[in-house]
Amino acid sequence: MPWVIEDLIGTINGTNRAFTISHVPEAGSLIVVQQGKKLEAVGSQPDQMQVAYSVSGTNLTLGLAPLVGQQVPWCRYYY
Amino acid sequence: MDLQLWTISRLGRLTPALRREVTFYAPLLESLDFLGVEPVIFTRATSSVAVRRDGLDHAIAANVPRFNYAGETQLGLMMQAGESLEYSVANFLDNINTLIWFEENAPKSTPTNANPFTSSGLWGGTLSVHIKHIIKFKRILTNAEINSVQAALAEVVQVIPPPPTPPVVSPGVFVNEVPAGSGTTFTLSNNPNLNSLIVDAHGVTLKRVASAPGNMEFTAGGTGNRTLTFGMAPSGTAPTQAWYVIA
Repeated sequence: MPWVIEDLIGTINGTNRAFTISHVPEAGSLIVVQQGKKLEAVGSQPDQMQVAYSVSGTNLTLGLAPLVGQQVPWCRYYY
Repeated sequence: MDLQLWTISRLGRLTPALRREVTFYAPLLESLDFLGVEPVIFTRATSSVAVRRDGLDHAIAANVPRFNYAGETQLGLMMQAGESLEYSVANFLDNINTLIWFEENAPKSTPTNANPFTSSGLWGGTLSVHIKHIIKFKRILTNAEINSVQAALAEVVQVIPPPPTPPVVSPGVFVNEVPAGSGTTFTLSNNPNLNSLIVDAHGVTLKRVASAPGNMEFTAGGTGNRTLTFGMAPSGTAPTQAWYVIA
């Protein structure tokens, strides 16, 4: 049960908002960072363009689709 | 006489002096096999059900004794109304010499308990109980001897221990600090768990990289209290902060 920092796994093409992470994070330990901003966690799938994310198991949905050339969204969590 | 190795083995728990005094022994753990004068006769008019080691009910035919299990524990022979268990009178099970047996794992002995066998060798004792380890001696044993026999024959109840409790794991206690330093080089006051480390500077959360940090990145070099090197010097207005769990 370690801490993990990893890039979100998924296609970066300006439209994809669905990503995965390697493990199911412990509740409250997950921080998702996109373009230097910590995203707000929301309970249901975030609206498009919302600076937020939702997580279910190892599936993670971003409100903003990352653009090609941007920093790969990353996260830190404990599992 | 009819002996099996495990029967001998169970008797082997007795002291040699006591073993020489045994005239009859019926373990009744999984068969009617016994040490003594034959025959043994078990009767039941109807078919029945026995619980075997697998924990499941198994149908058994008429006149077949029921040896039930509770997990790995052998409960013994279930005796109920309508069933009979008879040994040869030549075993003298009903005489005054000590008879020891178990009912539902509870040890019994004469004369403290009434002899369960009739003069014709029939089980006349308690019904609807599991009986086992019927053992007869050729004299009246002392209380100490009876106790030693009962202790030797008593079942070691198989207890499956519960799985061990997993160790309590904790993500640790977070430290929140303003790293000491200036420009692009700062130092933490503790040795951080690097995978827990979050660093905010110039209004953004920096991503840790192995080398050559860019504008939104930093490296954590050295060992112990790590040296943080930012790709861009923080502005004077945005606070620089680090959150981490101590390694």
